[in-house]
Amino acid sequence: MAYALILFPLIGCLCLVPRRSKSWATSILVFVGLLTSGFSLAQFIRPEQTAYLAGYLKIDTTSRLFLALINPIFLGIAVYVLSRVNATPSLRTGIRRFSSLGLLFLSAANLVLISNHLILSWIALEATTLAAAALIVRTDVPDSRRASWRYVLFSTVGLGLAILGFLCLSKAMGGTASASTEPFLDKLTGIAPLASGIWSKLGMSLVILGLGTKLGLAPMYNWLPEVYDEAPPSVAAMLAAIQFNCALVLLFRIVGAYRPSHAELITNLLVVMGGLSMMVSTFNIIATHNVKRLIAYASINHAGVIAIGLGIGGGATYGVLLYAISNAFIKAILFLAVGKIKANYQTKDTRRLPGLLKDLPYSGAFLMVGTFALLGFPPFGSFFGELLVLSALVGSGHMLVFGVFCMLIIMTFVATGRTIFPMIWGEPKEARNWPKQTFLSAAPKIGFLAALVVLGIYIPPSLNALIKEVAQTLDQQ
Amino acid sequence: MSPILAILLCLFLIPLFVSSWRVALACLAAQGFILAWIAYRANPQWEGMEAWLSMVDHLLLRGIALPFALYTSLRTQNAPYRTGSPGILPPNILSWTLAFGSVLLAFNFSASLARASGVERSPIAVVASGILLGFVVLSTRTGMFGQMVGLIFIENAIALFEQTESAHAQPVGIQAGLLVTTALTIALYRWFLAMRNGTKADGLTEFLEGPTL
Repeated sequence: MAYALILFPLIGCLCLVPRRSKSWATSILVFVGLLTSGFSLAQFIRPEQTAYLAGYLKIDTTSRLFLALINPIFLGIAVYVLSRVNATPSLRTGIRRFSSLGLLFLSAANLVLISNHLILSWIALEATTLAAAALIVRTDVPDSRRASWRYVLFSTVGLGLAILGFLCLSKAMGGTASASTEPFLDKLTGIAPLASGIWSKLGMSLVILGLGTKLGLAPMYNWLPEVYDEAPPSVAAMLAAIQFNCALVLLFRIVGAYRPSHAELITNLLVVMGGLSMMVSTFNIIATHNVKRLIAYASINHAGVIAIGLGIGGGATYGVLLYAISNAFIKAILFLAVGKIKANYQTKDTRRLPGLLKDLPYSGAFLMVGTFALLGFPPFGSFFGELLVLSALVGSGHMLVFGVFCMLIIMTFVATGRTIFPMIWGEPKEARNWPKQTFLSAAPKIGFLAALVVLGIYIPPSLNALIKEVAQTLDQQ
Repeated sequence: MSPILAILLCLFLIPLFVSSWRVALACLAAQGFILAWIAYRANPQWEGMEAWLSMVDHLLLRGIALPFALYTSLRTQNAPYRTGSPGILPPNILSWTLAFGSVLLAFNFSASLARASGVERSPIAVVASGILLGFVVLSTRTGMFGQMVGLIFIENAIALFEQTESAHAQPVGIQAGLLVTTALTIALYRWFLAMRNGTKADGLTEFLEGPTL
């Protein structure tokens, strides 16, 4: 099963090598998305806790949860791409390149989740970066090239710091009996608490800083708005909903293993980085009039909430997981909805897009619901996730962080509402007759929305049990 | 400090003060050769596939392929001999102070690290210098070539740390994966450098944009 999740996208990629495959490129993309979604959901329902490839690959509880998240999201994005290509035949020009890079990205993302080896996970995360860098570039748009280079620059620095951190952590293990063992993730939990001293602290700090860069956390966050803005909406959705979760899973694994020996360092670093991220994103949300940048800054804000919750641990961990899963769906909905809006209006300026609910009802409705979920309204999972993080902050006595957190989410709410609500409910500037939206283009967003509501209203017992299990592995003290 | 580490430190510093992209590429190539030499000294018997992979990584990829790929790309674009645009460090006192200050900071940091953990100081000092100088370049340059050199400084410093740190070599599969990643990164750098001419903002981006996926 684990092999299928990595190999099927690669086989799909090989099928796209012949030039004549252009006509069925999107079908291959959707078909592979269907296959991997099926396999990941089968793994979710009927888990097989087997190690593959001499223990280098393993599907554990964390991978099961996130595989079942990213693969259906990829399928949704593939369906969206199919609908865009059907509606706009000129997009067929670059579709073979897009599909093959997208499949490479999916294969590498699945490998990040399935890998049971620290360095292998790192290699796979780097592979997602290389594929995404090429996906961001649209050769006729200079700004997209600049954004892609910025993405490569920050990712290389972030991943470089992360691997340096892994090496420092491994050096810290040098004096222990387990020095000769490979950094297998399932064994890390047993040997990590033995690590202590300056190398271990330095390593942990570098890993958090490096992976924090991939998540868009302050201080190295400023690649994210430009990249999400310039990337095609489907690629922005891949980065925000898939790659973000891959980096997050790697951070979860490290934090879970090292929390017993480095609780204070982890809490301090993550809370400071999370708080700073929330702060910078809030001020930027106030200032921007670009709808894609606004969602990008909201992503930084969410990364901040996740970092704070992960740093606090305890009761917040379940909330963090719920929040991270919900946010993957929210970002996918919002980027795909904005993609549709931009395709029609040819602008991202919120001031030039009033009255979407009247003018472009489906996309306007998705934007509206996505924004409510983004702001943490009930009945969405993000609401409960945020609530759990807040109550854990109070419970653990972090009252200052709680105060700042509340102030920032109120400011974010007001700023986002001030910018987005006129777009949704205002009066359209002129009457336009848009082509009717097909079911195919709305289907992925409807699916994501359904998942989002389920997470908020009724979490199926099997999913709830899995989230609790993952939270436990993250919280072993 | 061993002579080889002293030379490596000089190779991190020279490109910052000589405004020629050819010199920068020559220094990057020499860094790759020195990393290969250090790898050879660590395993002079060439035992196992790991030794070969390490040599391919340092000698062929970092020492030859990377500088050659960037050189051919800049040559094709007729980049000026003296660095106007693809410069490494701005020629002013502030940048130079920052560079020397970074090296001093790296040595101080390595001293405290060596005191606390009992490791040898000089390799750590060179690694920290490489990383900090890479950051200095990244923070002072906006041009793509300069930033690329900064990134390669950081990557080479990490490779040196890996050489000096490793209690055990990575298994062949992992090392091969790292090798492929390095090769793809070089290809990506060359691709970006080849596209460099068109990156100037012209304020008409939204106009130029066609439909997107």
